Amino acid sequence: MEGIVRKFKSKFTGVEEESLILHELAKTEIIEIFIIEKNSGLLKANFSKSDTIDKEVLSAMLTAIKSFVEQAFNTGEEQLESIEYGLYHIHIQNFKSFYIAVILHGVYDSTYKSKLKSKLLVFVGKNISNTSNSNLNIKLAEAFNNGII
Amino acid sequence: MESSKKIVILGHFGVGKSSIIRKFVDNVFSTDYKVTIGVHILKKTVQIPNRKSISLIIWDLEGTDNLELINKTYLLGTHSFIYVYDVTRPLTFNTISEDLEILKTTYPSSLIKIVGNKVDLLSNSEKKSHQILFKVETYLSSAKTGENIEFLFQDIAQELDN
Repeated sequence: MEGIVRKFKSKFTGVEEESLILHELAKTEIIEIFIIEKNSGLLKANFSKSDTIDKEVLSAMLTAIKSFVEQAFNTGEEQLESIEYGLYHIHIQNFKSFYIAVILHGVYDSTYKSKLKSKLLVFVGKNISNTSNSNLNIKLAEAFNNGII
Repeated sequence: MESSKKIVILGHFGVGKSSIIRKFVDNVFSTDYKVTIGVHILKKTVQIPNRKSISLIIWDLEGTDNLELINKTYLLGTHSFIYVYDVTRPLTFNTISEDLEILKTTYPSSLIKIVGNKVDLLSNSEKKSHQILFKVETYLSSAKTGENIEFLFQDIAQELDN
């Protein structure tokens, strides 16, 4: 059934069937989301599908890497927006006093990036200013499970 | 209830910053000297008397003889600084008052602790004269024997909780 749908899609969109298969295989999946205080690198909230490395140490390390890059290249107002390693990407979205790091794998093209940016903006607008840190974890999980992020 | 605090440990090269942290976090001491490049981050949760836990996120910075050269963004949002010197090398504490002044002026709301490390290399009389020499409150510690290490971090956790 999937094959037939793909054939139709290929015919109507003009995109080769092989490309569609590759795109499906590399479907984007969000692994973890971190909300991190910009200055201190302390973790404000986190949503994770796995329970591996210490989240607080990871938040601090990400902040150190971000600080190093921004300072080393003397980028002024420019801020680090993504890190890539193998098939994984870390999308970084900066706000005034915090930033959000989304760890994902799969396709991370400009279309996906732009959609993700908008979703995070909506989430922040709705939740961050009027939610305490303890509730933020719940809000983040809800947003993920409901497909808001 | 658990809260997190950022601790930054700084000082000259080879004063034992990383050894202090390794002793505190992993209870390990090694004489192999490995230079810290950039920053190394570790975490330990401590219990304070009112049954609260505090996560100390410790940023171990590479040694420097000039605080002005440290990447400033590493220092932002720090709840407590630990300034470490080597009690056997005057070069590492000659500029202590200037360095403390910089920290106090730039980060007025941060707690600052001064640690004289490698105290196991001093005799008792040397230890006493050292304490007289330093009028400011100093923790004389030894990463090798563990002297005052746990006490230092417990003090910091409690003071940050107040």
